[in-house]
Order: sequence, then C-alpha cells, then structure tokens
Amino acid sequence: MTRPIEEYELSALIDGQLEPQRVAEVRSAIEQNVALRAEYEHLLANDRTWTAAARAAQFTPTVRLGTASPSSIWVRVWVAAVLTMALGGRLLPKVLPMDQAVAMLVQGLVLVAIVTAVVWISERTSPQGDARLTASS
Amino acid sequence: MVSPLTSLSPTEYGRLLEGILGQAAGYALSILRNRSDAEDAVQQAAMRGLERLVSYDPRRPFRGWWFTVLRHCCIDLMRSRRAHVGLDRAELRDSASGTALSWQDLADALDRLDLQQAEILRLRYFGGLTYEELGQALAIPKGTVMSRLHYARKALASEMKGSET
Repeated sequence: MTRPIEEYELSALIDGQLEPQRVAEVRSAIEQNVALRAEYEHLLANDRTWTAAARAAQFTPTVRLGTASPSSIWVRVWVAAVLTMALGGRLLPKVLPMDQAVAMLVQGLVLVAIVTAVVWISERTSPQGDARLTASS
Repeated sequence: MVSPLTSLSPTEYGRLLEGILGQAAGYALSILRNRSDAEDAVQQAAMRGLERLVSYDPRRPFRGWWFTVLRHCCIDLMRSRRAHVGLDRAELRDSASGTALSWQDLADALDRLDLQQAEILRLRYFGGLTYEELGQALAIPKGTVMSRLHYARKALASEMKGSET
C-alpha cells in the first residue's frame, strides 16, 4: 500500500529530489487529487518566478587568487633578524678592537646580508602565482 | 593512507570556484544589495576559502562548504557597512525594471521572513544549492532540508501575497 503523500514531497518533486519510485507515487496522487494538484501547480509557479528573479541578480565578478602569504610570525622573525644584523654590524667594531679595514669588511658583509634578507622577505610576502578568475557561466 | 582533507590543490580550488562565481555574486548581492560590496564579499570568501582549504573535505560538495565561507563574509561586510546599505538599496530599486518580480522584491520579502527560512531560500534560489549542498551549508540532514525548504516556500508565498494587498 502506498504511504500518504507528505506536503513537503511536492516541493521535493519540483526540485527533482525524490526517489524514482516515490516520484511515480506522488505524480499519481497529483493526478487523482484536485487539491493536491492545485497546491503542486501553485508551488511550481512560485518556484519558476523566484528562480527567474534570483537569476537576474547574478553578475560576473572578477576574483583574484594570490598564493597565501607566509604566516606573519615568520615575517616578524625575519624582520627581527635583519634589525639585529644591522645593529650588530654597527656595534661590533666598537665592542671588539679591530683594524679599520676589518671593521669596514664586517660592515660590508652585514650590509650584503641585510640586502639579501630584505630581498628574500619581499619575495616571500608578495603574492605569487596570482590567478584572476571570472565566472564561467 | 592519504587524508582526504589534503587532496584539493589551490589550482583545483580555483577551477571549482570559477564555475560558481555568478551564483555566488547573486547570493552576495541578495544580502548586501550593493554590487561593489557583493564583489568584495566574493573576493574575501575566495581568499578565506583558499586559506582554509585544509578544512574542506573533498568527499562533500564543494559548493555547500564554500557558500558557508561566503555567508560569513557577507555577514561581516554587512555589519561593517550597514550605514551604506539603505542608500544603495534605494538606488538599486530606482533602476530595477518594472516587469514581473525583481530580485530586489524577492530579497526584500526574504528579509521579512524568519532567519532560518530566509537563509535556506536564499541559498536555494540565489545560490542554486542542491539539497545535499544545503544540508552541508546549514549543517542539517537532507530530510530537514526537504521540510524546511517546503515550509519556507509556503511562508514566502504568504509573505508576498500579503505585501501585494
């Protein structure tokens, strides 16, 4: 014996979400029951109206996907390291007695290390593989 | 054993996203009522989803998961730009066509419904989500989706009929 038709099954029929066997049963009930048929047609008409209205809101946005930046903690660590190197390069010749030539060499090496670190950080923090997406439908 | 949580690459994510941008924009527009804000919300959701890709289970519908992210972005934007919404809505209404039911009329009617009913209808009509996707986005079983959607439709029909008279 066919179980009674639940009202919400009319919605599910419209949405194509009923099991095939149940579709036949619900359709048969709609054919035979005037009130059920009126309810189904009312739901169907509303569904079409609302679907058309909602579709009119669609538009094509432009979305850019950049590779996620490294975590901010690592950026902070590297910034701290660069500042330490800069300070160390300034203080080292004053703390340790050394020739002027050696002091200049130390400062030169520190400068190269700072430039390398800054370049590395800027490469890591700028978006890479940036992809621009547009709606395909 | 490879975890299913790690099987979606950023490239695949971009490809999946591309297919749903139009509906995502429509859904965001129905909440924010401003095209520029809607575009911002979709952009934010795209980036937030990319950052949280690890939380996506590829065995489940992508759209259901991503629309949850988008919904939160829309809510965040709506809270931060609430002051602008009234003006933009008025501007949009002036430019809307006078024929049939406009998306603004539909969005207005949804705003007058119970929150749960409005959300399921917004995701269904503006987002185009299936029952399975709705279940995922709203964290409810399919049976609940079926009944909630039906009664939400009845409430919307009644609301629209009431606003006509």
